[in-house]
Amino acid sequence: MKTRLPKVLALLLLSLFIAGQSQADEPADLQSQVRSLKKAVVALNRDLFLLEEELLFPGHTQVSVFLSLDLGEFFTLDSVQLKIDDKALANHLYTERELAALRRGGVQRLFLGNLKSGEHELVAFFTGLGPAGRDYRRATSLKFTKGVSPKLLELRIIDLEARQQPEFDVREWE
Amino acid sequence: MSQAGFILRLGAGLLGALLSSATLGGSVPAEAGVRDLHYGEALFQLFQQRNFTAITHLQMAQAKGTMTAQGDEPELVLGGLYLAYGLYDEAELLFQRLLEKAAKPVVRDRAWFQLARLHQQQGRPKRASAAFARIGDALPDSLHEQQRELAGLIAMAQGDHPLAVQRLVSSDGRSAWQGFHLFNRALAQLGQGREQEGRDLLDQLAGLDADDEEHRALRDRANLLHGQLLLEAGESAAAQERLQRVRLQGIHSNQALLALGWAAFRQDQFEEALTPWMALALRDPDDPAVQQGLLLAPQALQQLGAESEALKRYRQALQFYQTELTTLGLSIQAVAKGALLPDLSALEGSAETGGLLLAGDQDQRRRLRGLLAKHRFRQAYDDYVDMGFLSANLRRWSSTIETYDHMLEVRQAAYAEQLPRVEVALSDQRLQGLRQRHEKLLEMQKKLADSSRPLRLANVGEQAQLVRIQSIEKRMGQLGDAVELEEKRQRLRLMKGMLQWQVETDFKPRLWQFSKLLRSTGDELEQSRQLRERLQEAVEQAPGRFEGFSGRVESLKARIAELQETVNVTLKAQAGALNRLAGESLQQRRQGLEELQVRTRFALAQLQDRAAARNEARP
Repeated sequence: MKTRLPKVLALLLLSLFIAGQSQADEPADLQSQVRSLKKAVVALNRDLFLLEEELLFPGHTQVSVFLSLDLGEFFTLDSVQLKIDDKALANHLYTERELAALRRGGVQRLFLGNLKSGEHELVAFFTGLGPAGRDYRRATSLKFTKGVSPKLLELRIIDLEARQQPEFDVREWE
Repeated sequence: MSQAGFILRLGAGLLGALLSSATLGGSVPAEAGVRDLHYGEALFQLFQQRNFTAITHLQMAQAKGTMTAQGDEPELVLGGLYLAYGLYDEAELLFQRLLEKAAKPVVRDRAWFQLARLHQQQGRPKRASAAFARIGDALPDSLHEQQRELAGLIAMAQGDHPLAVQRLVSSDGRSAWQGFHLFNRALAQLGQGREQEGRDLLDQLAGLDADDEEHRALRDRANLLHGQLLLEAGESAAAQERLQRVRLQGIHSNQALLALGWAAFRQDQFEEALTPWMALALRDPDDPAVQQGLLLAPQALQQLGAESEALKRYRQALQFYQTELTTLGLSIQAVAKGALLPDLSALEGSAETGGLLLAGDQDQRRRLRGLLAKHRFRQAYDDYVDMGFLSANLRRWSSTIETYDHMLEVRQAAYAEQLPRVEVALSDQRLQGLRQRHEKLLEMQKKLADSSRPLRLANVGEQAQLVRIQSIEKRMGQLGDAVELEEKRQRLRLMKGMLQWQVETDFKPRLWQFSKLLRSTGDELEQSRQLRERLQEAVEQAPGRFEGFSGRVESLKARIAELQETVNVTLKAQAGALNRLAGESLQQRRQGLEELQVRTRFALAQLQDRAAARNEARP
């Protein structure tokens, strides 16, 4: 026996059917053109960024500073200031969206620049809300040597469960 | 279309609707951890829904070969990003490549899962089913509920509703996906005519806790559907009960209020019908439910005998429809002139929009919002905004690349200017001389250590003292063995002995100090050698590097120019397609309003005729 479909269900199914048709009213060749352009621009963008990096930040002088965050249970980051050799190189105010991305494991590139070979000192100042919602300002520093290969440094904000406090440090990547 | 085919299409439609609710970031297993900064950087972009930027970061890191600590994870994420960005062919190729590499079971399972999802999204249920069948038992726990959902939807798309119902049963009652499973299962049951089972599932869904807006909206949707089904089946009281559960502020509230009025009206509860319909009159006039409510409220008033109020409301409705038809006509004209869509020329190419862009004019914004509620329009609109972003991105690069071109010229000129000085520095042989001297000192140090001749390490003062002692000895020797000199000879021997003892006891620390000095000098000489080598290398490579950079800049410039042209043409074509869609949709809206206008005029005329007849009948 053929089942009669209730009208309201038929309408719902129709709307879902339309939703399922990928851009049913957009001409297929236009969709394909859009896709092909996206692919081409993505590849071009990659090549341009590679050129930019090689041109502006060659390996033997390149320094990148990243920032990562643990769960952020004991510290809510508001802003960070980065100084190298007492020169302010980056200031960043965080949005909710950025903080959420950091808490989920994202790593932010805070600074990309050039330094000559030799000894340098990095100092980072963090402001935000600490345990019990109080204003919190902390700093961390690292003396490092810039050699001939690109230098990668990571500012880390880690939750210290045992002390119920945040910890700030800098890690040098090989 | 057959009912089976219709339901099959339902599956495809629902899949798209539900998978879009699960963000791409959600498919990145938390347990994977970040062991690579470049991978982490791409995730930072991905978690902010900046798919284009995240793709660029991952592709750059791949090209530089700097992302080695994360295994196949970056490729899986990249594939997911391609899928989200509409690059289906690239996503498919990438997952197939991963599978060919005979990767770990967990990677293979995730690749098969993504392939199944891709084919399902693209309306290829057979291939989706084949890919799905290859998923083993290594899929991460965080993807199990999505796997269940996909399994059900593939079965629905293939017309196997009993299997879909079976697959959509979740073992985890607390899962965030539980509501989606129940809704899809309800549709599968309803689609195969098992109405009671479908309704029971909708009731079950309505009873679930909803912690976020997405789940609250899903619960509203279930209650609305259930109410509408009951209303259609003539069970108005039961319909009322479900419709009253829909929140007054949610996206389904207008339709629920409209249906709630009908449920009461059909039971002759005209006052109860009037309340939701009057409430509708105060809402967004662009919503068809609100527009219908304007006609229905006076009908309820008429039933309640409030004819003069009904008359007033019919007239207000007519006035509203007329005004709305006029503004709709203006919107249709605006669409024809291309004024509905926002101007994308102000977009910046460095950051993705990440949000909705609307036209500047308030009326057009309202109209555009209404159109964007339609899935087909929204997808075409998203492509339009993406093209706008690509155009802005190319515009930005087009200006930046000129700067790089200029920078290269400046650097080339500076190189030519500095070259003679550098060549002079490189031809300086002093470093070679210093290195030779260092080598001699090293040999001397070796000999000293082997021969144990401590006096070779006497300092300047000690050496002077030794020379003086030797000179005195010599002179005393010339004076013969005079007894009166014996005391002086003894004192001289004592002094010489003391001096030798002092130098010998200090020999080892002195030798160590000497070696240390030699080592540090050697290090500095080595650094100078490396520096000189790098300088030499830089001088030799510079012309080639300049040429390489110039070649790349020229080629990239040409690519930018070519793509700019194509993107702008496509952007115009996309705007044209959107305007056509908008025009059709607004025409339909106009027909709907005209229909309501005719019905209202008819109802008004009937009411007026009745009043006239009553007046005539009066003595």
